[in-house]
Amino acid sequence: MQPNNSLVIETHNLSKAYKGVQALQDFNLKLTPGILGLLGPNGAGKSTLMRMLATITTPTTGTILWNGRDVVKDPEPLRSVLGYLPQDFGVYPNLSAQEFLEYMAAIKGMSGNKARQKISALLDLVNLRDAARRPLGGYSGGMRQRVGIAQALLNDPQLLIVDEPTVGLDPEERVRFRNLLSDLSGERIVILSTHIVSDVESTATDIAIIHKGHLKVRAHPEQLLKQMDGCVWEWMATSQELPALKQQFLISGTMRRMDGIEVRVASEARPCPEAKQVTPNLEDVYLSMVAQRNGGPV
Amino acid sequence: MKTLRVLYHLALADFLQRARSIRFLLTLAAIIFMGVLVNNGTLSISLQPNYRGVFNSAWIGTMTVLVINTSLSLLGFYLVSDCIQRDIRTGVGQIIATTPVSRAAYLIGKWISNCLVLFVLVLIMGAAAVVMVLLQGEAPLDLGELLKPFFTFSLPYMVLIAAFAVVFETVPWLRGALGNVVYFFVWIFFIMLSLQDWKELPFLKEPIGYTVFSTSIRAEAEAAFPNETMGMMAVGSYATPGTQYKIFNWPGLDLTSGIVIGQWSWALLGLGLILLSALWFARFDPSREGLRRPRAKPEHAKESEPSELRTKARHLTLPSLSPLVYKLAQVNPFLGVLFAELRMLLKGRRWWWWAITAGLNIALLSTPFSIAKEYLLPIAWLWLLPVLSEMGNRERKNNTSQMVFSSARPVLRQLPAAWLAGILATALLEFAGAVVFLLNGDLPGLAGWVGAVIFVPTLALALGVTSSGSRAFEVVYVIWWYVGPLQKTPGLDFVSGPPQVYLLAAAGLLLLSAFWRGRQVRA
Repeated sequence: MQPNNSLVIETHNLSKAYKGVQALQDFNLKLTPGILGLLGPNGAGKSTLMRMLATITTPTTGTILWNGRDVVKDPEPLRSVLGYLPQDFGVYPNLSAQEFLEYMAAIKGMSGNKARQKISALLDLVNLRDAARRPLGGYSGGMRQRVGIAQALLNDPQLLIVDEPTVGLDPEERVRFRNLLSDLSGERIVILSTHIVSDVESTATDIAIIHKGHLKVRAHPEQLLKQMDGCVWEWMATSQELPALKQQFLISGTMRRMDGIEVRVASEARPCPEAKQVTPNLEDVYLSMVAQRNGGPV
Repeated sequence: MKTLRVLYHLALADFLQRARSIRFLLTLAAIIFMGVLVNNGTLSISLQPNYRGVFNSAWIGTMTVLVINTSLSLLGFYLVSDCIQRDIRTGVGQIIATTPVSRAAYLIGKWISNCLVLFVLVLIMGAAAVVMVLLQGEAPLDLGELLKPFFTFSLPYMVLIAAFAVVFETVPWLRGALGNVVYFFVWIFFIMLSLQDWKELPFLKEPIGYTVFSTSIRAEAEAAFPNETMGMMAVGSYATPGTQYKIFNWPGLDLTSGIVIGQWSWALLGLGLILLSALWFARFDPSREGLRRPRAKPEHAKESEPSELRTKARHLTLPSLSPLVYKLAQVNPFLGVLFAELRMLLKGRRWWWWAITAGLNIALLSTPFSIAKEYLLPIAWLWLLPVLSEMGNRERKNNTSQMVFSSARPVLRQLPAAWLAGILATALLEFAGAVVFLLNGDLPGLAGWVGAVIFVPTLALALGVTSSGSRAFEVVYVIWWYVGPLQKTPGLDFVSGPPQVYLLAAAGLLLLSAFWRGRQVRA
C-alpha cells in the first residue's frame, strides 16, 4: 500500500512541566507515515510526549498540529483516528475480551456492524479467538497486552501510539507484533516507544532519542549505524578482567564462551590490541549516545 | 444515535463490571436482608406512639420506599462511587481519554450505570414489598398503589444519589476518605431537610418523601382517631414485640402531577450537576489530577553534537549489599518493622494536616473540659480517619502484597507491627484527650480513651484486611462516630463507653485480621 503522505503530526516548541518539574522542553518533531522508534532512558520524557500526542495531557507551552490543525485547541479530529496503547494500561476484569472491545469500539464512535466485524478480525489477529468469551481477570499478562493491542487498532488508526507494546509477550507473539507494526506503517504514523532496542531495530524507519526532556537525535537507523561504524569492538576477556573493563569502557554486551567472555565495546579508539572491529547495531548506538549525555565512557 | 450508542456501552460495560463482582452479590444479600427486616416489622413506619396503617399495598410500598430512601441514599452512594476511580485504577481511563467521547457523555454514561445499580437494589426491595403484602394478608395486592411511591420517590432520589457519586469522583480531593465524610454530612443534611416544614415551597418537596407521606398519613390517622394526640412519624423504628397498634386504613397518597414533577425535578438536578461537573472533570490528565507523582527533576544536559565523543571514564563502584537492616532492626526485627509501619502511617501528610492536628490538640488542652469532651474530642477522633483508613489495605492499594506477603513472618511480625503502629499513631495524635481526662481526674474517661485508642485502629486493620480497601472502614467509622461519640448513643460511644467491651471486641478483630491475612498469604 502506498504511504498516505497527507498525514502529518508535528510539535512546535512543546514543553511540559509538572509542578515545576520540567518533563519536556522545546520539543520539535515532524512525523509522516512510517514507524518512529522512540528511545530514551527512564524519566527521559517519552511517556509525557506520548500522552500529549495522545491528547491526554495538555502541554504547558507549545503546539501540536495534526494535519495542520491545532490538537490542543481541538483534539476531536485526532481522537477519532487515534490508537493508543499505554504502558501501564488495565482492563475491566469482569468483562470478556469481546465485551471490552465492544465497549472500546463504542466509545471510539464506531457503528455496531463495523465494530463487530473489526473485533472479530482483531481477535484472530492477536490470537485470542478461543479466549474471547472468558473474563479478562483470568488472562495472563501477555494475553491482556494483546487485548490492549487489539483495542488500539479498533478504529483503524491513522496515528498509532504504542508504549512498550511487546512487554509480556512471548517470543512468537513479539515477532508477530513486530511484523504487524511493519505492515501497518505504510499507511499511518506509528510511534513506538520501548526499551527493547531490537524491536526498534527490526521495525523503525526513523529513530528519535530523548534525554532529559530534550530531543537529542532524530535520524534514520542507517545514519545512526553509519555514525558508529568503526567504533564497536569485540574480544575475549577473562572474568577477572571484566570489572576493570566495565569501569574503563562502555560495554554494550557480553557473551560467555568456552575460552572466556566475549566483550563488546563501543569506543572510538581500539580498546586493546586483540580487539576486532565489528558491525555496530542500534543497541551500541543507543548506549553510546546515552552514555555521552551522562558523561560516561565511549 | 451515535451518542446514545456510546452512552449505552459506557453504562453497560460499567454495570456488567460491577454486577459480576462479589461485592455486588454481597450488597444484594444485604438488601434482601433489609427486605426481610421490613417484612418482619423490624424496620417499619408508625405514628408515635402506636398508630399504624393497615398492611395494604400503599402502606407497605410507602414503608419500603422510606426505608430505601433513608438507608440506600447513604449506603448506595458508597456502593456506586467507584466508577471513575476504577477507570483510574485499572488504567482504562487513559485509553478512554484518547477517544472522541466527550467529558459530558462519559460522566452521563457513568451516571446511568450508577442509576442501574441502584435501580436493581430498589427493584429487589419492590419485590420484597410484594411478598410482604401477600404474607401479611391484611389487604389484597394492588400493584399500582404499591409501585407508585417507588416511581415517584425512590427512583428520582436514587438518580440524584447516583449523580452525587459521579460528581464527587470528578473532584480529586473528594474521591477518598474526605469525600466519604463530606457525603455523610450531605446525607445528614437531606435527612434534616426532610424534617423541616416545606409548606413555603409547595412545588418542590424534600427528596426523601417523608414530609409528603407523613402529612397524608397523619391526616388519615387523625380522621380515624379524632381527639387523640399523635407524635411524629417514625421511620425504621424497632417495633417492640407485643406492641398493641391502633390501626387505620390509609389508601395511599393522592399523587398529583405537581408532586411527581417536584420529585423528578431532583433527578433533573442530578443531571444538571453531572453536566456542571463536566466543566472541571480532568479527563484522566495526570498533570491535572495528580495521578502520577512527578519524576525527579532532570538536570539540564549540556548540549553537544552526537559525534563529539568523550573519553572520560565514569568510575562506578558497587554499593555494599549487606547488611540490609536498620540499626533498630538489628536490635529487634519486630522494632524495625514497627518503626517502618509507623513511618508509613504518618509520612506524606501535608503541612496543613499537621497544623490542624496540632490546633485540635491545643484547643483540647485550652478549652473548658465540658466543651472539649462534648465537641472537640469527637472532632479529633474523626480527624484520624485518613490515617487509619490506610491500615490493612496499603499492600493491595500500592500493589506490594506479593513482596510483603513473601517476606519473613507476614502474619506474626508485619501484621502485629502494623496494628501496634496504628495504636501508637492514634495515641500520639489523640494525646491531648488523655491529658485532658487526667488533668480533670476523669479516670473512667481516661479508661474509655485507652479502649478507643486500641479499638479504633484494630477495627481499621480488620476492615482493611478483610475488604482489601479503605472504604469499608471509612463508611463504618463515620456512621459509628456519628451515632456514638457525637450523638452519645449508649453502648455505641467507643470513646466514653465501657472500655472492657471494646478491648474484647479489639481482641476478636485482631484474631480475625490475623486469620484473614493468613488466608491472603497462602492464596
